Amino acid sequence: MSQFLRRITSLPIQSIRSFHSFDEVTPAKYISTRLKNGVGSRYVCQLQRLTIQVCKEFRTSFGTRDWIANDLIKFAREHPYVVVYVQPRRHRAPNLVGEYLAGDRQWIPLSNCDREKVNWWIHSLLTQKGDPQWRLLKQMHTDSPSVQGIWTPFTNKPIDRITRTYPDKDLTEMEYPQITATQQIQELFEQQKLNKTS
Amino acid sequence: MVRLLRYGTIFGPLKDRWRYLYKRDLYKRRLEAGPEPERFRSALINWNYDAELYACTHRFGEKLNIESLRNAMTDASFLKQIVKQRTEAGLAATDQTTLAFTHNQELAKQGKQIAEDFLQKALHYWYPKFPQEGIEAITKFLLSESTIADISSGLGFKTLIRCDIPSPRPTMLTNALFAFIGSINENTGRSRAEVFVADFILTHLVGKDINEIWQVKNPMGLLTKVLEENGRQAPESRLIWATGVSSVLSTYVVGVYSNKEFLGKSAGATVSIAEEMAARDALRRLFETDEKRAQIPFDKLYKKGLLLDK
Amino acid sequence: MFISIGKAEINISTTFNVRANYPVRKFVHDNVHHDMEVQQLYTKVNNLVNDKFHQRLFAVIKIGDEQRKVTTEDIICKVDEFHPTIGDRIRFEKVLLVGSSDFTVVGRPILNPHFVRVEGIVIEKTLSQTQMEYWYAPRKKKVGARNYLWKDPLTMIRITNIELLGPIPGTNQSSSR
Repeated sequence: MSQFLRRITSLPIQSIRSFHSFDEVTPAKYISTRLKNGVGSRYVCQLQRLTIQVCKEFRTSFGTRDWIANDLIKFAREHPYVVVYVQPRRHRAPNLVGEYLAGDRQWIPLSNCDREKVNWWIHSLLTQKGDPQWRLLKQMHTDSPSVQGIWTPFTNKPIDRITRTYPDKDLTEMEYPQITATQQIQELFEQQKLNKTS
Repeated sequence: MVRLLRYGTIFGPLKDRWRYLYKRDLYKRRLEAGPEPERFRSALINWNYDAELYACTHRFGEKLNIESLRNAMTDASFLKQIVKQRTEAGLAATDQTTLAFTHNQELAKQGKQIAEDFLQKALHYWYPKFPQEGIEAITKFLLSESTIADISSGLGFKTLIRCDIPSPRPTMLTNALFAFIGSINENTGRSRAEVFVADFILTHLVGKDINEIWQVKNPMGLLTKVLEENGRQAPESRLIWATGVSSVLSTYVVGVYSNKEFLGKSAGATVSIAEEMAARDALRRLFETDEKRAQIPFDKLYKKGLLLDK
Repeated sequence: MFISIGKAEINISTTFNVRANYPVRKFVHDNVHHDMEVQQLYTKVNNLVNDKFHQRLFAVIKIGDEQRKVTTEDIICKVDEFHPTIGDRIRFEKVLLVGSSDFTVVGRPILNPHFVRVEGIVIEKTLSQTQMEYWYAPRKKKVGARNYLWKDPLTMIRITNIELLGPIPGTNQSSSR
């Protein structure tokens, strides 16, 4: 629903901040996780370190500066498992670089983003696994696709079929549980005859 | 498909001759320079090793002493390198006692022993009918260098290990993980270390068939042996179904019975294949390691007190 | 029973009276053998609950508008915004069906939460690949051609636990719902 609204209202879309070529086919993958995360008694956040590159003077990094002044300490306290580096760079655009446990790396430009957007992007990197953009082939992943057994032509097949000699009379003859349509019409016809005569 | 952006729009279209030549020359020079040499992560400007170690303890929820973690992450090659550098510089500190830290060889031994004991105990508990040979094969697989190195690199130890090369070798990665388990044991006790093993090493069995990890070459022979031990009659195989016998896609279904009692059945392209697979199926049913069997409750091995009563 | 629509008054009770003349159909027949069989089935399933080495369970759960068949250690993906963040453990309240290799229990429409528990953990929240919709309307004023680009928020949930908590509700071993 929200996608539909977004399309109608044509608001600036915050989730697209990188060049995407539609000429190339997006790589497609199945859902996977690193090290079966979430199975055991604990969950491991995959973001290892976060580098915020920011300029102290330029207008382009106003929101990033705002976030560092107001939210950085709170973020670091809430997520002690992430190492945050703030890297001031003179007269250049602000960037966000996330490095992940498996060795992946995500890069996001933060030019002209306000404080809320910066917060959104940082939490977006925090909750990711870090792999590049991919298209989902299936919206689920399972290691045991069938618990009650995969169907084959031999499941629930009556065992006496193998002991018979073919052609078998019992199997070839049709059994009609009710009278057939032709028989019904015949009966009606005969009743009509009787009525006429009487 | 509609093309949204043209290539080269960021730096302007490459229609100027001079710009094209300039770019081409840069490209050629880059190729001539060759690939960049591998660097340590610690060589970059955004690096604080103490902060990284602090984050590492919080990541796994373990209350570790930072110094012991630093020892666990120090490889023997790192110490050797330092000693070598000192001797080259003309210093007399060749002996390890002057250094503030040690390498992780001892801790790794300790950690490996804990992991091996716990894995055997847990597998024995959850698969009580599975033979000892098979359980040993599974523990060997779980503690093999490739598996442990994969787990270790997945836990982000690749950048934390201190060694003499930028990308650590599998042996270094395995040592680091075992040493981490050892340091948990030293700091917060053995049960906590065992929970760590259950969470990160035992979970490697998810999505894997343990009957395939333990490779049985002669399943029919093993089946007769197991049945003899239990005092039952030798297995007999019978053909249940057969279709497409004279065609390419022939299928035979063979069942294995012992004293007219059903043990298992399976399909195959030929009778011999089907018989072998049926024997494997019978073994799976006997050992209770079927697909139907519930997976190990990784997070509840201690919660329910399952392992504590054994 | 009377319902007034504007000025006219329609007597509906007469129509009901006509229906009442027909004999009321009995949907469930009293069958002692049938009940015995059902009780045996119930006890079989109830005994499986107490089994420590229980068999693998699967369930059909409802997330949003979708129904998913899951077993433990599955990953399911939910498209569109979803409030819980990573590491949050979720209990799925709408369980339509639960079963193992030997039995299946179907809810009408959902199962009692005191009977079955399905839990999951949010492991990842990402964005989908860039998707595009092309809009072309040259005749309309101020429209022309438009490109809409967007990324869907995705949430990966891993099923950690499917558990039977007690006997089937409504059987002899427990009070009915």
